[in-house]
Amino acid sequence: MSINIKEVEKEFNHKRVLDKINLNIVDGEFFGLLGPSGAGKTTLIKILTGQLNPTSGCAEVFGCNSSGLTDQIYRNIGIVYEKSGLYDRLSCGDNLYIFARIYGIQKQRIYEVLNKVGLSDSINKPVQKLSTGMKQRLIIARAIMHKPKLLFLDEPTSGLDPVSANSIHNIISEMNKNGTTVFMTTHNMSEASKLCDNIALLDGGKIIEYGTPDNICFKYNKNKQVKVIFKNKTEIISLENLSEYLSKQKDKSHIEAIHSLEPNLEDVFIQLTGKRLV
Amino acid sequence: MKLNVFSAIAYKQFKDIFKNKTILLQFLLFPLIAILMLVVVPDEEIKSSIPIMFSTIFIGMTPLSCMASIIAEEKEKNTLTALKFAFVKSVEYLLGIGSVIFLACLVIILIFSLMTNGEILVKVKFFIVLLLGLIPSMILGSVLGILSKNQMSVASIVSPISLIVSLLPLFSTFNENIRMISRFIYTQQINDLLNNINNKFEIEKVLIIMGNAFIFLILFAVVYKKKGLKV
Repeated sequence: MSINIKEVEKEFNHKRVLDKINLNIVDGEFFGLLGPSGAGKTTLIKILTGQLNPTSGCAEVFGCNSSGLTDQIYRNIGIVYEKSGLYDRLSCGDNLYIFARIYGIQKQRIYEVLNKVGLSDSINKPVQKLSTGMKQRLIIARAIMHKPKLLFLDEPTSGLDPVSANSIHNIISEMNKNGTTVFMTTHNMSEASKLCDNIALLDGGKIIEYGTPDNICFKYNKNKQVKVIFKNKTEIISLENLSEYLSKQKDKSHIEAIHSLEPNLEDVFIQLTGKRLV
Repeated sequence: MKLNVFSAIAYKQFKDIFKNKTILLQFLLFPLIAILMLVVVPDEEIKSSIPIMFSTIFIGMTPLSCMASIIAEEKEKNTLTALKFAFVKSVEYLLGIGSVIFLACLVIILIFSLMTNGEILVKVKFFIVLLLGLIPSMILGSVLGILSKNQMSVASIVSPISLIVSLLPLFSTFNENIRMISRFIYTQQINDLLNNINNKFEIEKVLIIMGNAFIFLILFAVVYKKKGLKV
């Protein structure tokens, strides 16, 4: 078990930000914590990474209480948060070299990770001359350089263009395929659907739904309809009538596509809370 | 303390010191003005006081503000948090940046020492006195860095303190009341020792400098225990 969260609560100035959070994240899982801004996502990541202590409850990372994470645990985790610090005046290579030296990693690994995140040409470029997307990729390079078993990503693609976001998706997806457990917070539901094995929807500090993205969407698929797209028209048919409807079609070659119409995660979130995921 | 961590932080600071114009300027400003004045001032008596005046200001200002602003910048830019996640201990961090600032200051005080008139022994004594002053100044800078939240707040704390510490010896020459207060400040004692560099070291003055360092060290321990290097 990578992460075990039991009844975690957090209050700031008597205001409850997290309310009885329970979660288990197994080794190798890609977990997404979805919620709008202010839902408590970053607070939970801060508790898990030892930056904050919970008001009550217990959060464990690799079996160790997050309030007292040891050097050994920190060695096994990589963290990417919204305002991860980089040394602006130093080059990409130097930024990684400092951490390689701290972790006791061979210099060769710097070239490997820069290559992986597509920044090998920028090794001597000062960080202050990089674009936002490049900086984020460098932060990810730093976080994965020591080959962590668990990766925390706090809004990793926030404010990035689709191309940069996609490149980051590919990097973290590959890390996960190679066995790294990923804990990601996001308010981007398509990102969560695309990448996560399991997600939890967080609102007002409470988990309001948990499961695989598909299962959650199917669970809230009340209408059970499909969209049949013809060359010149589109029809919405209920799922139970689909076979009968198709058998009535004389020329099936006119059908371009058939799409299921279950709600996406954003629709589910709106159904549950009446709010949008922003 | 882990050597690899200490050397990584020192490497970072060494690389950064040449790229951080604000820090670089603080190091070069006072020796450059001193050299310039030595060239343009014809009066030999005034000339001999130039290295004393500027080295005292340098000791009171540069190590203090450099330590404080480096710590504050790292807090503001979250690089300190990134180091914490790489299990860097606060002590390793402070010693890492402190060692580079210390070495850089050594180079500058060596330059000041070479500016003085006299035999090699005088220059060595000049160097040792400035070296003594470096210690309380760096500790005080670390305290102010820990107390500051960001670069904006560090400027508002460091500027008045460094001005008082570095300029008190100068003001005390015009006003006896100021001198009554400034004789407890390490920069005043450094100034006095440098002005009497040809005489024997007065142990009382050295003790006041060490006493200042000790008080700042206690202050550092209290502040560090209370706040650490929390962002």
